[in-house]
Amino acid sequence: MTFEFILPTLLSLGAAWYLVKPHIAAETELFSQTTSRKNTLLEEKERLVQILRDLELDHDTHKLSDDEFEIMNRQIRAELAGTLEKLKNESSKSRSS
Amino acid sequence: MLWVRRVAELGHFTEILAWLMALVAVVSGVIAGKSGKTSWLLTSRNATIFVCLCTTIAITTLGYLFYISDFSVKYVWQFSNRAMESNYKISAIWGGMDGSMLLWCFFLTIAAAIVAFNIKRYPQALSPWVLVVLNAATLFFLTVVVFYTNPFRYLGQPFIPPDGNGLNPLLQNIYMQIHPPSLYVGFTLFTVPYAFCLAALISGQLSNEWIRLTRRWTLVGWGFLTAGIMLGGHWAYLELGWGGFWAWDPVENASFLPWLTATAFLHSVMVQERKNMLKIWNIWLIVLTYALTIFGTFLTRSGVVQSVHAFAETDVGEVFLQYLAVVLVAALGLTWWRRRELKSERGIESFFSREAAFLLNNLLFLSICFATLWGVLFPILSEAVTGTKQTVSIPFFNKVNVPLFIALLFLMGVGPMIAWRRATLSNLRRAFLLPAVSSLLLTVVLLWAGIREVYPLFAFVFSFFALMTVVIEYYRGVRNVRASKKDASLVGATEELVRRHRSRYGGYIIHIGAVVAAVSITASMAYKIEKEFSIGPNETVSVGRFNFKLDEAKGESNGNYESLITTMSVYNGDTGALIEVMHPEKRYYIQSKETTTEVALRMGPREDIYIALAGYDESTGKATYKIFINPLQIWLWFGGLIMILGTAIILLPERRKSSNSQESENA
Repeated sequence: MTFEFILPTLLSLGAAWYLVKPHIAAETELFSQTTSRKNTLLEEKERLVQILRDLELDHDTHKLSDDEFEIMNRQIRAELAGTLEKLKNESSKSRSS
Repeated sequence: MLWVRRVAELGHFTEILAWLMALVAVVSGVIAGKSGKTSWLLTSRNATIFVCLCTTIAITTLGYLFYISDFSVKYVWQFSNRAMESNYKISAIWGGMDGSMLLWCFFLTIAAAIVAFNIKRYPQALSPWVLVVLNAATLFFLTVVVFYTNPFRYLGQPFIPPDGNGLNPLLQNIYMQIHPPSLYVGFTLFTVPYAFCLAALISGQLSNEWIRLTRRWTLVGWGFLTAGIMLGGHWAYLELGWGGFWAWDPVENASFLPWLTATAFLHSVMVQERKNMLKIWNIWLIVLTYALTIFGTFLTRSGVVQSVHAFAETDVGEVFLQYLAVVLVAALGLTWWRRRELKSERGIESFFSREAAFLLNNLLFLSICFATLWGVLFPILSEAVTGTKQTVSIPFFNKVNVPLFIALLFLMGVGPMIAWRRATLSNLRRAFLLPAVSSLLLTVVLLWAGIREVYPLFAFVFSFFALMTVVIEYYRGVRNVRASKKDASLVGATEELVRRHRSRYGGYIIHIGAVVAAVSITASMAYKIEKEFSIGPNETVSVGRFNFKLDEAKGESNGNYESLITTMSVYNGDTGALIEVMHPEKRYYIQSKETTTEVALRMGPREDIYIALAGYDESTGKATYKIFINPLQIWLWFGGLIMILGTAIILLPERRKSSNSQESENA
């Protein structure tokens, strides 16, 4: 038995097990975990807050007119509200589970 | 059963296993996408991760074969020898076609595995299709590796040669250890945004989410590609001995083309994120970027172009062309299918707006891209049509691209300052009065200083204009921060400003880098001094403001090469003071029987002194040199570094509140 023999055998067996595992273990439940989704929503929230900050800076430095600032600000804030709502739902889901 | 008798067979085995697993990942991904079953998605994820494990073993095996100099393996025999330093034995992995394709697969599968590890973070409708596209790309490259360019093939000789051919001497350079991997990382990372883009089209999840999810991937890829291009330029400058860094060589262009479309994408994506416009445009920019990486690989590996950077002629060119067609047709079909959902809600309302500036910037990037592409393709097409290859040389590229680059410099100044939607007269005055007046003043100064050539004059003035706008942007931003935080110091306020608006101010730093590079390129192109001459011992020749005296010439040898080293003293032409003793050299590599020029270089902030030994006549003791005085050359490399620094600032992770405080906040 050489190293060159053992490694391919282990690799092949490992590959087979690794592929079949999701179909025999109750792993499907693990996938819908909420923490990761929450992280994504947190990132989305940060991105929208960043855009709002940029809009404010553009407005303060006269690169956005009052009207345009109003429109874009409203649009981004609406998106932010939606994201915060989703975050709230995810948090309550994780607490109840 | 004894499957594997030797280490090389282990490498080949893992390649085949990786190929099979990539196929499984594609099939299970499609089933997951169609059925929505998580178990199949997990199978696809697991297979993706396993492919990465296999390619890691394969590349490690190849590295090990080089390390132990196993010349029974053809690739190892072709690209290494015993006298080579061990660090070059490692870089020999990508010294030839076969290993470079495996390295490509390795980087691609790492990117795919990272996506697979995080797959549960992505929208469930998008995830399976992302894995399908990523693994389809991996499957293609693994097909090339397994069936066309397997680096683990045996030499097929009855005996094992005592020594190998050795690596091309031009590649035995520190920059060649980092330049190709840097380019490959850049190229392969663009597969991720392409995969998300196609997944969005397939799944119908056409919000801006795919852009948000791939923003960092695109930026990291762009950063690596920028670094790779700069390193390649620096390698050419040091190693090729012609005094320049960029020759519009087809292979250089192959890395430059996707850089152009990726840069255009990074700009236009801001318009989509803020104004929900240019959706199809952005999809096609990322598709083009990916397609151009494939096209570049086709160029370097098909043998259709002659270049110092190209690999030997092989039969994989056709395979790459077929794949390129699949990539483009798939994207075209999907975009057509989703065309109604991709319609922009708003249009550009005024030519004097930031949206218009970004669009114009994009058009310029694409014009440079297509002009360059035409220059690359013309010799191939002319040969196909007329049977005679008509070459396109440096003047064509410079003539077409230089004015476009100058226009880009101007837009680099306009873009950050102009208002969104519609700029008013007062906005334009407030934004551009100071940069415009100061640029006009600079124009007068430059004309007075004797700079009358149109392109250099415009390039310097617009570079200054772009720099001024960045300085003003920083000044206004800092003033804004200090208005809200009275006690903030200048440094503290700047730090706060960059921290709060990393993308914007990191982007401005990239602009500063681009301006520094543009000034350097302009100066070195327009005001380079070049002289070729023969000189005997103790004779002196004057070039520019320097005098060069040949002191001596001597021969040296080590196991790898024989060299002729000359010693030249460089004096200040005005004061006569000794500035530097330099050693231009010629090397003859024993194993590969190749001669190289080892340039003697003195870099300085004002100019580089660049000496290449062109020949030596033993009977007369006279040496022939090419000497170049390259003004401001060093600033090109600093410009590149500043661009990387700007990219790193954008990529800095956001300081996030702890999850506990976040939860309480959300509650």
